[in-house]
Amino acid sequence: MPVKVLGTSIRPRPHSRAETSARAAFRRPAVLLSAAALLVLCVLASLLIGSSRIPVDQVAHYLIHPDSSNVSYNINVLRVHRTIIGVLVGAALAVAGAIMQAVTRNPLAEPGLLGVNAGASLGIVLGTAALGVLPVPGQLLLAAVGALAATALVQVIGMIGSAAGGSQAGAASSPVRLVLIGVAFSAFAGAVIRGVVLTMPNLFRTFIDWEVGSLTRADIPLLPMTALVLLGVGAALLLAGSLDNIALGDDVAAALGTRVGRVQGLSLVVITILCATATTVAGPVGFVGLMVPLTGSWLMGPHRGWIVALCALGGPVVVLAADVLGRVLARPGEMQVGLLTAFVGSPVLLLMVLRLKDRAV
Amino acid sequence: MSAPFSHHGRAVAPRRGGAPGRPGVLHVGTDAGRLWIVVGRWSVLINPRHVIVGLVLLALSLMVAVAALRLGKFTVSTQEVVDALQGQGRKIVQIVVVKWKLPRILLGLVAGLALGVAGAVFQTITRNPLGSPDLIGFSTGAQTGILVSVLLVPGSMLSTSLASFVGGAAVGAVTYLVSLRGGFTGLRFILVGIAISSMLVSVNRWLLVRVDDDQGLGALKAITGTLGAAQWSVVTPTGLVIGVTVALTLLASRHLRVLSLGDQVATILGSPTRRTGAVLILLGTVLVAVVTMAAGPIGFVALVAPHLARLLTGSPQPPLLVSGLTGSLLLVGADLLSQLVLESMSVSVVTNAVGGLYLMAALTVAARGRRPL
Repeated sequence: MPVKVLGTSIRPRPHSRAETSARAAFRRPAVLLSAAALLVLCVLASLLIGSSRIPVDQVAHYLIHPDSSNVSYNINVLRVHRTIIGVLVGAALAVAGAIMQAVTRNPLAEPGLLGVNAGASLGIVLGTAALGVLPVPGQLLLAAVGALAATALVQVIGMIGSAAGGSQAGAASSPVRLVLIGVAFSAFAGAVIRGVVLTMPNLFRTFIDWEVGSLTRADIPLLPMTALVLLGVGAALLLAGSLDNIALGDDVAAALGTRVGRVQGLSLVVITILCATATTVAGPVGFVGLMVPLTGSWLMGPHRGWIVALCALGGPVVVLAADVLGRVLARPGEMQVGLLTAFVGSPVLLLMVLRLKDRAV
Repeated sequence: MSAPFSHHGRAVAPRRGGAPGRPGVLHVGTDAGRLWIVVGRWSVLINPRHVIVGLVLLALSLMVAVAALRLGKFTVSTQEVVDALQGQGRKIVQIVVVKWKLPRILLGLVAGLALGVAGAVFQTITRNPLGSPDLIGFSTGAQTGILVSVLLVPGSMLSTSLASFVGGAAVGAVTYLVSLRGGFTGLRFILVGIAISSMLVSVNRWLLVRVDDDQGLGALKAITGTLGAAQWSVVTPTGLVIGVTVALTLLASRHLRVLSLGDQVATILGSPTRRTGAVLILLGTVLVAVVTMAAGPIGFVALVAPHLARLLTGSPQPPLLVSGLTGSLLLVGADLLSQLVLESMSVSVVTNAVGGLYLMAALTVAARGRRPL
């Protein structure tokens, strides 16, 4: 029973060392299996539950025997498409968050908080203002460029800080400072976006539909996106061992044979690919990259490989669950997934902030 | 408008002159390059550098104000402006200058003053250079209030203004309460505000995405602070309230410098810590709220103005009046810039964009350890 397994992992009792490691060895695969089971449930829910009420047996019927009716299109194209996008976005964001937190040794590192979403939005709005409303591939490109630029900018500024601040009692490498830089960038981007939208009212719809983050874009080329996400997740799994070493500090990692600079560079590439893909596909879906890796390290302990694996399964669970919830909450309309994850994720951030040790602030 | 007649009560004023406490007797002296004046129980400490900086800022603000009266789509000469202000000259010039442009500029001046003073108060009390209303969620809360009022319960202008105040104050209060245990000095306090704001941002987007384009665009305009809609009927009461509140803040600020040393030290030195702190927070909130009600949320002035004031005066805490004058200059300057260059873009767009860039730069510089934030 997965629930039981989760229960023991939440309240670990003192055991002898051999017993503990044996339990842990059993526990991690079990957690992973439960996450996989949850994911299957969420995929089913995402297929079965919608803002339009279609009975379950009818859904099953159309899934097996598609025809040319509207209902069949609704289920076989729209819902399937959206479920796949949900899985991709969730996995990409959660894994990106896990890598980001490991490589920056910063528990608050999260794509949304660090300004990636704001950058993508800025790219879309500025590009549309300059070039007119583009077809989807063009929009994707704009978002990707914006996300890339923002990631690079905030990371570089963060690195400037941590490179110079080692001697300064950790003041510069403070996790919170990086987040604040991200927030400052988001404020700047938000102001520019609002200025452009107020000047060009016809952009309002493009902007606001993008800004809420949703899985409903029907015209996204799934295959290349899937390939990108798989590539990113695979690379993340390969990097996990080195990241475990980096968690001990750069010097220790180097002594253990990890090429720190190379791992950091590769991580940055992986993070950027995953973030840009997810943000491009769905718009800003905040806090998934914070909540899921946090839960992952809580369940798995300091084992980045297991955390990344759990994130690849748990991210989609969170995104799909939020999406299904959004369809049910606001019937007959729906509440976009990005709104829900932000609404639920902000309190998680609040709790983390309140629990941060003083020296980290 | 005289010098920073601010921040020093008997508790801090140097008493080396041995000024006796007899009422009505004037004592003047200098100490460490500063001028002190004692009248009976009351004493004022005047820092010449603050006076000079304040006067320069005032002169610059007036120059920008005159430039704003002159320039624009309808450009007039300085002489015509002076005539129009005295009720002379061409009728059309009088209407444009006195009825259209003057209220906008006056609102910019008093709103900037209010935001600067409020920011200085908050930053000093929280002992946190980032402890300004923008970063602890006040602006986001005000926007939520406006959106709820405009989109969900359409009503009069007054209810919108009131909603913006209620929203902002509620979020500020929640941030304050949540932070009580962790304290206000570190970046943690700011991050609590950011977490609470980001929750409200998703609420704001939800409110915006579910209405049609016209309504949504109108609401987006309503949550963008601007001086463009200023009319005498709004500017006069706003100016009066801000004037009185700033005066009260200056009177209440005699303990502010002691408070900035920390609650314990302040108590030991004999300051009524809690009472003074509460009064000052209340006055600061009133200042921000009045601005928000009159012009909408205008970000980052309350953050940046005290920083610049500290830099200009070389003082460890932002002096209140100099911060206020810096705020005035920033706001009318930003408004003039947006009118001349950006096709009358709402001023809050300019302040938010510039403020965001400023904050990024300031954090980076501080991280490199060149100077504290």
